[in-house]
Amino acid sequence: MKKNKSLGSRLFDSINVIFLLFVSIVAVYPLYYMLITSVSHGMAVMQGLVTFFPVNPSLDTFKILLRNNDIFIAFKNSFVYTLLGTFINLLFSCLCAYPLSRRTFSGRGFLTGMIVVTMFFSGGMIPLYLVVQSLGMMDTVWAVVLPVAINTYNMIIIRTSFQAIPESLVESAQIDGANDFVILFRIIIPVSRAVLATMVLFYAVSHWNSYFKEMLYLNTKSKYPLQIILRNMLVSGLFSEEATMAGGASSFSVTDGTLRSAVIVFTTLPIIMVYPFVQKYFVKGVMIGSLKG
Amino acid sequence: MKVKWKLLFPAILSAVSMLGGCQPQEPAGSSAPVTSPASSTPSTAGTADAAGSDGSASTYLSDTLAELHVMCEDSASAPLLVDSETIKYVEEYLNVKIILEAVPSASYADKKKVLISTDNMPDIMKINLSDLRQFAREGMFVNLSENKERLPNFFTVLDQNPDIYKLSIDGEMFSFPTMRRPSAGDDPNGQQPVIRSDLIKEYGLEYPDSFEELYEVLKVFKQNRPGSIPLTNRKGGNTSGTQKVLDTMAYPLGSGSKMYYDQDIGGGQYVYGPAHENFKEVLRYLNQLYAEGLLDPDYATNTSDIWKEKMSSGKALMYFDNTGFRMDFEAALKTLEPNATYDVFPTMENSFGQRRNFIFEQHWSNSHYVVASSSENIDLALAYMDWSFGEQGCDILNYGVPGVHFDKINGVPVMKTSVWDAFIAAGSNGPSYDLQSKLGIGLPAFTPYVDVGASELMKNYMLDGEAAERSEATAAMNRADTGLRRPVYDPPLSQEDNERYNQLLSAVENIVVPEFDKYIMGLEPIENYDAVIERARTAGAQEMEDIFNRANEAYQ
Repeated sequence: MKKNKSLGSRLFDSINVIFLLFVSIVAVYPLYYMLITSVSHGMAVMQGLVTFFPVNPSLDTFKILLRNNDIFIAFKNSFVYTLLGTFINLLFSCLCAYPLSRRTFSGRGFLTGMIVVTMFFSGGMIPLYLVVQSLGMMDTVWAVVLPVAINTYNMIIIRTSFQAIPESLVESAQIDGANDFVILFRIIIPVSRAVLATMVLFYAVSHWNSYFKEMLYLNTKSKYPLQIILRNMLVSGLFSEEATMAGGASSFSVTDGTLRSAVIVFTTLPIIMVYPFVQKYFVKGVMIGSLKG
Repeated sequence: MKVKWKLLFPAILSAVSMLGGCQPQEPAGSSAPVTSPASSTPSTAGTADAAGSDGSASTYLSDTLAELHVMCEDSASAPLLVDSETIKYVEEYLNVKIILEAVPSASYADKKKVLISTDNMPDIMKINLSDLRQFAREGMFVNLSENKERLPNFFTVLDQNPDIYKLSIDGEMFSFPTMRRPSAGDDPNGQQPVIRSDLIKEYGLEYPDSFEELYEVLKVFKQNRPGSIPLTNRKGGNTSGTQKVLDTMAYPLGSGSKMYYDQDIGGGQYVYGPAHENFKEVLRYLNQLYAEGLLDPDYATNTSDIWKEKMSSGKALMYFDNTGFRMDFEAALKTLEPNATYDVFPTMENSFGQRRNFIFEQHWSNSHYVVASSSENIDLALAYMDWSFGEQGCDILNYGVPGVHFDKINGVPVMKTSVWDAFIAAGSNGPSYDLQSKLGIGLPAFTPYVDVGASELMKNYMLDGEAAERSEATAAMNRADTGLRRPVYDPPLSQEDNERYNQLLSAVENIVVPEFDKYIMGLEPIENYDAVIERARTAGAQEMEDIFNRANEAYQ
């Protein structure tokens, strides 16, 4: 049955819709603008003619971008670092979170306190560099994934989620003869899919976007992740006044402006594509971690 | 409650696995692998330079194949290739394998600082002047002056460019500054005025000969194009738009935007521009332009992209900056205004009756290569660096493989046009950058002694008839322009003076920098700037000048 709304209610709804529409546009337009400038003619971008729709669209910028062999190598590296890094993150975060979530674990308050301290204080860049070096990890994949094996914030969310699982479930498994590994991997983790899916997203995004530690610990160009290569293109630009001399005005189909946009699209697209697959767990996972203590 | 200590196991396992997962490996870049002992470099660069280019054993710097780890900045426009043709040739020719650690320029400063702080430098590393002054005294870099007899080529080049000795630390050279070998195509240019020359003609004007005439020209532009911005600018790399305007215009207007050597004051002395009487004229002039809408109202906040947009769309009509951009702007603008042209014009006379402007410095005084004191390959590194300052080294590192990429004609290296043609035909947006990247030559590569002939002449080679004529006309105009001057390097300061200077500079900048916009925008009458000058001089500007002038006298 259709319920008649009051004028005030309808007015409120209208204003609400308009306001949220505005907020959505403000949030989406920058991404959309990057997309349309990346496929627009460089000259139009340079002259500030691109606002709502692409001007003289072409894929020249992406062709130029992908002509760089380093990008493919870097893309592969990023993929490996993200997959391996996220796996290690989840494994170690769960291994750390599980004992801290058990009330029967002696000293868990003290250990939790010690771990939480690392959220506020760190040794700093140079001590960390020396540790990585002395462990022989320089210029290896381990230097990229192991120093960040556990993110304290994420681990605490997982711990809180594990804590919410009834103790009786664990006890019944113990009566059946299950040890802690079996309990963790066969019971706790399967029932915590929501929070773990959220953590996959958090960790994967962080690995995908990371460039600083990679720049610091990797010396070989062929091991660089995508972000280092693309950041360099973004910051230092790619083209010069020479573009004109090379081919006259026609060569302006690609400029620093279009390239910058293409780089941003190229970088964000993979992670945006992952988002829909974990989105259904996202809100649920965060809520579990944050509200129940 | 039953205590379950065994739950500690997973937590401990996580930590142990983390450590155990790392196989010890030799940290790359922290030490060179195979070294050639000092005795293996008996002839150093002298022999290598005198030998033929056939890659014979006499050209070797090392008896066995040796490696040198070198860390350089990697730019996106001309990426460093670890296996460029020149690197491969050098390996054959000198028996030295250059292991390039290409760190993206955007992150170079961070990595460099960590490596220096942890004493983990590669054999050779690129640093800037500030690093040199900060760390040379701490013994981080090899003292080149103590090895003078092993660096004949380098010190010969230094003696030909005595100003470079100003980059020494306490009278000793600790670095190989990136230096320029004079070459064809290497014409003087700088941050000069670039104006819409088609509008000059259209409105029946002449190129301005003085800043007062420029003011009149800009007024005519504004009258005829009320919506336009007659003069615009961009922000600097690490500086504000205001600072960029002052950096490009203060000296031509008779003062300076920071500490600089002024030949026209007291027969030549170092002056801190913003704390000098003449600076008022700079502010007065800029205020005059601003008040009448002739200077971009967004001059303080313009980014590089906004500047490009304004210049490419006809919104702005003139700038003081790198003149090379005018070709981009002109080509873009021609799609909207087919007759539009941008041209450089000669140095204008200022209100003090001077004609002066800086051109870019001859060498790259902020770019240095140093040999790490902790390197296990110091002898080889010195030999290699000296070879690169010799004639053959310079030829190879700037033109590629002899006979393949260039020929020596009458003692001058000449790039083969077939090489240029191949890169032009490849259809990239920057053929000369591609040339330098693929061959591993010139300034973007690991080249301490730079000859820009290969890339600059290639740019000229690419120009069509009319563009080539205009380019040559600009070059000729600059060569004939007596107002264009090379900046004078700062004198070498003692550690004590350097610390004192930096301390004073910070205090003085805190006084003057916030004032610039107030006077340019007319929020304060220009007479009030006397008080700013007074405060700045009392706070240390006078002492800063004294430190520089005393150091300069001592250096002389």
